[in-house]
Amino acid sequence: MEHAVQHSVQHTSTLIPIVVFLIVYAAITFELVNKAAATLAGVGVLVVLHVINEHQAVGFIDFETLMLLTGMMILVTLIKKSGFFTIVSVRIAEITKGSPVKILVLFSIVTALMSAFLDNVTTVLIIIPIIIELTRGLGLNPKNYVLSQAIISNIGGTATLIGDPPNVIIGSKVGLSFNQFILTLSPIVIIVFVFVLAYIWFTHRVEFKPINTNMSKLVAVQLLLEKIRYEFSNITIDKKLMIKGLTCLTLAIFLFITQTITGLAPGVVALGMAMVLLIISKADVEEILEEVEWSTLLFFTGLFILVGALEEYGVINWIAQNVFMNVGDNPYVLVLMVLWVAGIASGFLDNIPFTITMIPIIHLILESTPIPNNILWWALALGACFGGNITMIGASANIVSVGIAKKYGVEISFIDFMKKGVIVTLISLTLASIFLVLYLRASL
Amino acid sequence: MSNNDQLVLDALFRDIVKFYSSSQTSIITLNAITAAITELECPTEDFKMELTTVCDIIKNSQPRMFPIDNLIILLEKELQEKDYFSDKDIDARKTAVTKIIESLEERLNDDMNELANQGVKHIEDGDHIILHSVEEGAELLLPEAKRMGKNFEVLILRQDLVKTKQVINILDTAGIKYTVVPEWDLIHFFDKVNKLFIGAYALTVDGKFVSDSGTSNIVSECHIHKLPVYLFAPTLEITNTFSRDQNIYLKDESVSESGSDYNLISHSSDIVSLDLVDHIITEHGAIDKSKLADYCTT
Repeated sequence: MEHAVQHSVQHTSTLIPIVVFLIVYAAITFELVNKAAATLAGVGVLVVLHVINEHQAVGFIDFETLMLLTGMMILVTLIKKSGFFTIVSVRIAEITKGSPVKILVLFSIVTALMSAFLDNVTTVLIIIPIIIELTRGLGLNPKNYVLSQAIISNIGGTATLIGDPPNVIIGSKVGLSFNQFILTLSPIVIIVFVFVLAYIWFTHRVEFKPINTNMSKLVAVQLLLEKIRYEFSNITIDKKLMIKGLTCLTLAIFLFITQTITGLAPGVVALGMAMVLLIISKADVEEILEEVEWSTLLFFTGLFILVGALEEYGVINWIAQNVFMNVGDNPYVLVLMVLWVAGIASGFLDNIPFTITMIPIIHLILESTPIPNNILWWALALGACFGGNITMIGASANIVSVGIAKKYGVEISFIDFMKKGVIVTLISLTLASIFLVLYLRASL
Repeated sequence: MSNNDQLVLDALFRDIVKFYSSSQTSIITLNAITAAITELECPTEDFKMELTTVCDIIKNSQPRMFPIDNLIILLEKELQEKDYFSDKDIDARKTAVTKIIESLEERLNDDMNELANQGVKHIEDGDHIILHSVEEGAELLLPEAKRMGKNFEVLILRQDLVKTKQVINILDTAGIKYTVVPEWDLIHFFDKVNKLFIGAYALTVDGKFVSDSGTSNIVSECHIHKLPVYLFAPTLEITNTFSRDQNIYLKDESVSESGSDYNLISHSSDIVSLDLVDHIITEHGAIDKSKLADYCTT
């Protein structure tokens, strides 16, 4: 009798974190409540019901990830404030000379590079307004350009440890370095980038016809560039801050690359350089801190605790044993399953909680079936990042891009996004599958 | 001619003229045409058609914009008088047309410089001048007068924020003292101000002028209060067409603000009678409104 009661209490205790987690997940996915509020409310429920105590909760938080994100947010805010990104955007607009293909290709290259080294949301916040202004001013339909930049930002962000939140989480929780990310993932990211760009160009090749045979359009380009130059000339450029900001960012990237020599974790480097920049720039700290996305950081904090509770109660172990490890121990099957499950799930669910949930599962898979060269982690990173392109809600950059476009009167529906996103994700995941299979074959 | 190309260029003209005078907009357009000629890649026999299309688009812009409209007429006249499109390869044709455009630009620049020289004669120490948009008065005369050491102040009437901001930028750069007030507040300043400076997109032979939106209100109010109204314009802004033919653009847009949804209808420019203007100043000095036809470009 006593045993039955004890079993029932333990069963109920296990059910609570699962139910709380599912409710929070649904609230996040369907945007019913603010993400940070949803996760922290979930944590509150677990603590109040004594499922976990506050000390355990703090222990589940991965401060390395939070430090990296906070540091990068402060660096980007200060560089943005200097006007650097505005100068870059206007220069690219001038270089394109209004050619639709050049607009697509050059902006895509810049978006991919910026996404690789800054966060994707900042990238689209900078790129989307100018690309809408440029294309609309030329009488082109901005829709495909906006969609392409959102998609490319997710692809570019896949290349580095700091490019996309799933990578930040995987890097810091698993202990993978900046160099490991960039050396392993950038070749496949470049290939995917080229294929996706070619697909976008091919499906809309009529829109991307050259304009240098039409004098009216060439005149329009010149007038439009004059207008853009004027509009952006009103933005204050702070050269001193720009030099200091870019120096700190370059130094931070250098320290990421030399992590194995210095032994400095990316979180320490990012936050350290951010503090250096805050001090040497003599910026208004209160004003800069207002720009930091505290809700994102609190969202991460809450998620770490919720997933920690699931791990504590053996739920993660159960999922790993009953879902992933049921397919057997064939490394090819495991790698491809992680890639495609991560890819498809990230298209419909937020890829941040998904990645945080998958990390302990992959640890368990690796315990029973060791797979060399971190290939299972690369499968998770590629799946979670590329999968964000399936739907409008798959990644924060998509939601922000569609939101900016709407503000400028460009309507992009869920279906519009998905029509392009599904094909792009299929291309990306197929190429990633080939890459991972070849890499695994070479490693075994 | 593609309707889309016409709409795109019209919209660009309307945007650019918000932060530059119509004369400066014309110079920008001439430079744009020159750059476009350089970039253009088309069969030799298509060059004439491409150039004609651009000329037609400019002459049909909504609203019609001078001096560029008259400069295009002069370009076409020159092209007609001398046969630039026969027995030459495309590069020769391009070079010849570019030279004509450069000479037109030079003429407009000379006219604007002379307009500035003539205009500063009408600015005196102690003047308190009203401005409301970026026209030749703000762009040329006031900075020139300041450079000459004249001591005056400006009252900026705030209307469209983009225009007001640009007027402020120009005056700041020139170090001219100013005050900004909402346009509807002008009534409280008639004891301080003594002149109104305005510009125009066109002066028509039927005794009207086409100008920035909001000009009509201000000119009328100043006229009622017997405040001298000065209109500064190069003669290339005078046209032998009528005010009704100026293609005033009508914008009908749905607006949603503060919980209210409504349709907002606005016009790109005002048509005002020259009877409300006391002085018309051109590069030739003050001219009589009854003699506008003498200065028309034909």
